[in-house]
Formats: sequence, C-alpha cells, structure tokens
Amino acid sequence: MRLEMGTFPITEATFGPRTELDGTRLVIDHDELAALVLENGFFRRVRIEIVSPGESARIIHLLDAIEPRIKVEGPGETFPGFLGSVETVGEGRTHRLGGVAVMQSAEIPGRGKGGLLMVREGIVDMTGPGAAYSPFSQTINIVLTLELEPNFSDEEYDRTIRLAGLKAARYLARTTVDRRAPQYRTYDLTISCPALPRVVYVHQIQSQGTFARTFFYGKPLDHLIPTLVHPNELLDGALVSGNYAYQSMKTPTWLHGNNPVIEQLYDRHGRDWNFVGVILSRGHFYGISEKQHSANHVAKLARMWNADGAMITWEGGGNSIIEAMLTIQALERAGIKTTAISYELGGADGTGTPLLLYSVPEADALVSCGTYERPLRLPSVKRVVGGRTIRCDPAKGGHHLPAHQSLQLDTSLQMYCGTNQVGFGRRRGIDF
Amino acid sequence: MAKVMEASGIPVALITALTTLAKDVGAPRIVQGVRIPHPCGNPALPSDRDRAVRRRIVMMALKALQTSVVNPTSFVDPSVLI
Amino acid sequence: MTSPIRIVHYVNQFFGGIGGEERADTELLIREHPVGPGVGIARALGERGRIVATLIGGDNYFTERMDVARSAALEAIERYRPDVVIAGPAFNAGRYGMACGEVCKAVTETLRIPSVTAMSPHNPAVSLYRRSTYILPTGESAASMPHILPRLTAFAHRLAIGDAIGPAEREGYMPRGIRGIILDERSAAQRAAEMLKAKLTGEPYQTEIPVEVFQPVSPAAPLQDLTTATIALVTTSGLVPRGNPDGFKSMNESRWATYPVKHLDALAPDEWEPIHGGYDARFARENPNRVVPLDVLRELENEGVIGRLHADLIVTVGVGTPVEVCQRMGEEIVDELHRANVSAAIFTSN
Repeated sequence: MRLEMGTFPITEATFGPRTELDGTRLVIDHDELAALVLENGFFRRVRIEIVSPGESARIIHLLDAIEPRIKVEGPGETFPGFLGSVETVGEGRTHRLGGVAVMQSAEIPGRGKGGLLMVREGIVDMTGPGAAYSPFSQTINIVLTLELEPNFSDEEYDRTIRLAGLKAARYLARTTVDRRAPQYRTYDLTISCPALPRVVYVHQIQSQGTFARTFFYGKPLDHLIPTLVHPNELLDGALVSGNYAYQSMKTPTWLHGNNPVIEQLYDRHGRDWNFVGVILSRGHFYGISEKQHSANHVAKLARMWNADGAMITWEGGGNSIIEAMLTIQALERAGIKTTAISYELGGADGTGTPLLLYSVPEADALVSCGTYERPLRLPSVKRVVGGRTIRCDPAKGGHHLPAHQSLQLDTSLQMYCGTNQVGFGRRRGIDF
Repeated sequence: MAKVMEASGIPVALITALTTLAKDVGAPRIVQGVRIPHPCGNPALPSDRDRAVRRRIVMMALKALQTSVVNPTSFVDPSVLI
Repeated sequence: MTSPIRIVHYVNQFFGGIGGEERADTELLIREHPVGPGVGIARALGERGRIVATLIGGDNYFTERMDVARSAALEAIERYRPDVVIAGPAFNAGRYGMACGEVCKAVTETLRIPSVTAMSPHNPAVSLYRRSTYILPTGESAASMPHILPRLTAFAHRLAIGDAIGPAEREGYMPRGIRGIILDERSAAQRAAEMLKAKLTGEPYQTEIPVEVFQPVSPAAPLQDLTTATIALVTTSGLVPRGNPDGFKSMNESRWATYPVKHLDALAPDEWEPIHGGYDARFARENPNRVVPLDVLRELENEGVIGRLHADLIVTVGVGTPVEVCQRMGEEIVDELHRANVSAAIFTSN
C-alpha cells in the first residue's frame, strides 16, 4: 500500500466571496460553509471564526479537531465510513491543508449524569503559558461554534456534531482537488534493508461509550480486540475521535492523522528500523482478565509479525494504564523491546506518589509527556471563541467562570490535549 | 487507605475488579470483584441472581477477614466472574 | 559583579581538626575562618565570597542531643547572617551525614537560608534529608574530596546569588522527590524514538519515569468470631446521597464523609448517586448495591452471620488521590472506626 500525501501549507485564512486557495492563503465563503453545517437541521445557529497562532485568544467548549484532507486518487475516501464507503484507504494520493484545524465548539447539556461518559471542558490558549499544552496553538483554527437545538439525545448531538466537522474539513480540503501540491511525501512500508530490526506501533485508544469513543471506518471500537492496521489508513482518516470525556488526555481526529509516533517510525524506516505496522488496541476494559487478554493478543500479533521492538502509546486515564503496562510486560516477555509514552501524576506540587497508577518492572523505557495534576494560571485574553464562560464541575450542575479573564485552574485537565500521549508535546516531568 | 486500616489492626477485605493493581500496591486481603463499574454485582443477570452474586462476593470478603495472611492474597469465587 | 557572598560551613570534630572518635561528644564550637575542607572551599570561591564562620560539632553530640544541637546551630548561624550554609562533605559517615542533613534542613526550613551538603549516595542520611536540602553525591571516602569541593562551592555560590536550580540530573544533585515539569527541546515522540533505537542497538538509555515499588504493610490479625463482629462498609466509589450534600468532587477529592445507613435494608437507586468521574456510572445508578453491597450485609446481619453492620457508610472518591492524602484519610477513618469499636471493614473500589 503506497500513499502519496500532498501538503498545501496554509499561512493565513480569511473570509471571502468564494472558498478557494490563493497560494498559502485559504479563503472561506462563510455563508456557504455555514449552510453546509446547518443543512441537517440539528443546529439552531453556527458561528464560524478563524483563530490564528499568536493571537491573544482562548477557544473553549472544544470537541474535536480535524485536519482537512481529501483523497484525490485511488480507492475510497478520507474519513471512510463517515463521509464515504468503508472501502480500505491508505493508497493512491491524498491532499491535506497543512497547519489548519477545523474545530467544533458546543455546550452539550450535562443532564447531571455524573460518571465517566460526559462532555467536559476543553480549552486551547493560542499564546501564553497554556499554549504549550496543545498543538493547536500552532495551527490556524476554523472554529464552528454550534448553538444546539434542545431536546435531542446525547447520541444525536454526538453524531451530528461529528458529521458537521468532518464535512467542513472535506469542504475546505476540496480547494486542493485540481491542483498540484508544493510538496509530496510517499508513505510506503516496503522493506529495502531487511537486516534492520522490525518495529510495530501499539496504538491503544479509548472507546467506552457516547462521548468517550473512537471510531474506525465509522464504527465504534467499544469492544475492540487488538487488530492489525496499516499506518496509511490512519493518514487517510480511518480513525476518528468522539472522545470528549477528559479533554487533556484524549486524541482528537487531527492527531490520529498527524500521529507523531507514526511520523517518527516512518522517518526512520529503512534507516534505524523497519516499521512493519500498527496494532490497534483498546484500554479501559472493566475486568482484569479482559485487560490481560488484550495485552496477550497484542504480544501475539507482534510475534506473528516478527517484531523486534515496539512503541506503545495509550489514550485516556485511570485504569487504562493497566492494559498498557500489561502489554509492555507481555511484549518484553516475548523478547520484544518496548518504549512507551505516558503522562505522570505527582499531585499538586510534584511530591505526590506514585507517579504512575500502575506499573510493571518491565516498563524500563518510559518517556514522560507531563502531567495534568499541577495547577495552572492562565492570563486574561483579548478574545474568547466558543462561548463566554468555562464550565467547571459539570457533574454537579457546573459552575461557570468568565473565560476571558485570568483563570486559576487547580489542575490542567481542561487544557485540550495537555497530557495526550501520542507525543506531540515537549512538556515532560523530571526529578528536581 | 485499606493498607493504613490494616496497619492499625483492623482487617480489611478489599473488593475490586482490579486485583492486579491491588496486589501491586500491597493490599493484604484482596477479593475479586466482578467488573470496574459494578464490582459487587452483575447487571446482565435478573435482580435475584445479581443479588446472589453479591452475596457470594461478600461471603468471600468475610472469609478473607477471617483468614490469616502474610503477603497480598487474592480471594476469588470463580462463579461470580463474567 | 555581585557582592561577595557569606557562607557558614558546618563540619564534624574530625574534619574540624579537634580529634577523632574520642572527641565525638564535642559541643558546638565556632571558628570565624575556614577550617579543614573549608580551606578548599574558600580557595575555590576566591573573591566571590568568604566563609564567615565554621561550626564544628561532634558526631555524637549532634545525633544524641539533636534538639539541643540544632537550636545551638541555628542560633549561631542566625548571628552570622550567611547567604548560604554548606555542611560536610560527609562521604559515607552516617552520624556526620545525619548532622549535616539536620543542620541544612533546620537552616532552610526555619531561617529560610538555602543550604547544600554532600555525601555518598549510600549514606543513610540521604533518604531522610534529600527532600529538605540539596545533597551532592560524593565517593565513599575523603579520597573524593578534591572532586567534590569545587562542585560544592559552585553550587553553594549559585544558591547564594539566587540562581534558578534546574533538574537533578542536569545539575548533579540527588533527586529530592519533587517532580517538576519542563519543556524539553525534543517532542515526546522524538525522545521515545531515540530511546527505542538505543534499546534496540544495545546503547544505554534512561527511563524518564522511575517505576514505583510500594511498601507492604503488616496485615492485621484475622477476625476470630464473625458473629460478634462489627463490620464497617467503606468505599472509594464516590457513592453519595442524591444531591451530593457534601459537594464531593468527581476526582482529586481529599475529604471523606459518613452517611447513616442504620435504618436501611438496601441502597435505593433514587436516594444515592455515584459522582466518581472514572467509571461508567450507569450500573451503580440502577442499583447502588452493586458498588456498596449494603443489601447483602444487612441480610447477613439479620441472619446472625455477622454481629453488626456499622451504622454509617464511609465514602470518598478514589480518583487522582495522592498517597499522602490517602494516608491521612486512612488515619482519620481509623480513628473513627476505633471510636465506634469496629472490628473489620469491607472496602469496595472501582
């Protein structure tokens, strides 16, 4: 499977009479895009705003972030299963708008449910101390702030908001269709140097129910038994996120398509190792034997692939570290050398123990991607997109803080992708 | 917290689905629960059978409280597992 | 050019030139000039500062009469108004290491003066004092004195002028049990790729997150007679009365509460709600007894299988609670249980 990815780098976005690409400037027909978003009748209104790097701006009530990508040659469509058939993707040619993210922002009613499966606050600060917490302080963000019609079910909000975002992303990517990209890169797992060690990527995702879900070719992964995936499928948007439970730990669709671990594995393919493929697995199984079962499967698949090494990442919080650790253990016991990226705990002042909820002695090569447990003070900003107040403690009905003012947060759980573990960030824990 | 209570002389039977975690942390008396969201029940069963499962788990917990242990020990009733 | 810094240096009777083990009872002596290793420190310091006083304390004096010795040291140090206090190096001498640690801790915590000491990583004082001061690693014996003195001096100088001290592995001090968050030059994915490459080629690598080993506890003696026992129900499931009257948070909660259940045969779904943010709460909402098995325990009480079910349910939320907070809550709950003559507990967790 050979995929040519054409990147159209975007340095500026503005509204204009027609949606088109003008060099590295993306022009957006506001009304046409708004009509597209509103066409299913589930939203009362949409505000479309452009938020750029360097602005004193804060985006709130964030749901997903999606990179505009479109298949221009070859089988299937990007975001298969949602915007097109379930034909296998990852071949041919795909175009992307580099440096752009389409985002949905909405206040989904909390309904006082409590527990895990609810939408919590997600914030991106474009400048200041919060900027390092997410990759989206570096992207031009096209934010669709959706005003919801009341009295729909959680599943309906979830589905319609997702489709609106994916359609908007494809709509913008269409500007590249009959053009030649300034740069193309080929993604191909062909082995030219068979002596190099074989490496797999174990990509453990979170999928537990509405609002804490990941989709593959449009289908939820709530009961996923580990399976083999070609990384090019991910480049074509086969993995879509519907995960809004804990916004610091989740992987948005944008990062599923721009996975830094996959980038590293491909960058060094044929040089440091042979990247053989991706094992997709899930965490948060509710019983210990299911967790062990999943770990055993991953190790078996890696062995069948004659892997020598594995990179492991996991998504989400709490008990899903158990699957990741048991997976590391099973791989190491099979003679497969592992490295993993993980966030750490440490409490409010860095003296809290343990740093990891669960660990195994075989986990001897861990990379830290920071923590959400330290307090964070965000400065006031000139512009807030997505609403006026940020919502804290939604389980208890929620209390609201004005979003433009400076914010003293007890933890950085609300910072979008702040402890996401696919490794885009440079924040890390270290002993003092 | 269970460890603190044991250290003070109060035996504690810890019911949890995550027995591996409890063992790792060093809790002495670990009772196998069903699953994370419902450690003391099985919602797939009719309510009287769910309650019977619960009773078996609690009986196992009472047994753990009456058992002398040295190292972290799991108490499992296989009939409650899904 | 900053003004010359003032240092007070602590050494033991041996390095202070008083004598050996026979003089270990020496009470605090003060010399207003560098002594022993202090001469090397002063040389390394040059114009940048001076040792305004050397405190000499016997190893036994300090460790056997610690409160007296500590007060005497603090009082003396305060008089000299140093910018930084240096103690040792103590190498692998245990009592000397304790004294160095104690002086540094007292000075930093009570007088808010920065301090630094140096000793072997195997010195028993390290685990006791590494959080309270900076400890630089030395070899086992005074043979490593020429190696440590320039480093000790440079570190002390930086502390004295208020220089920000970076991570332990970069600055060369022993980790103090504090995790800081920094911005690395490379992304986590990059560092992971480099670490995997090193592992695959047999090159050295170092994990960024050390894996914890938990301390075991001595288990309590088992119950002898269930039929006369009072059993308490404790839970970290965050199951609270409907409306969450005590305003528990769904995670990072550091409080616990008791709720009377004496009058209840079972937990009714409309009277309780789970507010723990880490598990799917549906099943607990439908039947709270699935996380807190009150119905069955009441039944067993009525049958005489157990003596009594404790009148209150003890609740907290087990998400994101650091070990020290768990420890404190555990101790408070123990007080409560001892007061109520509870014999044993059933603890449920998600």
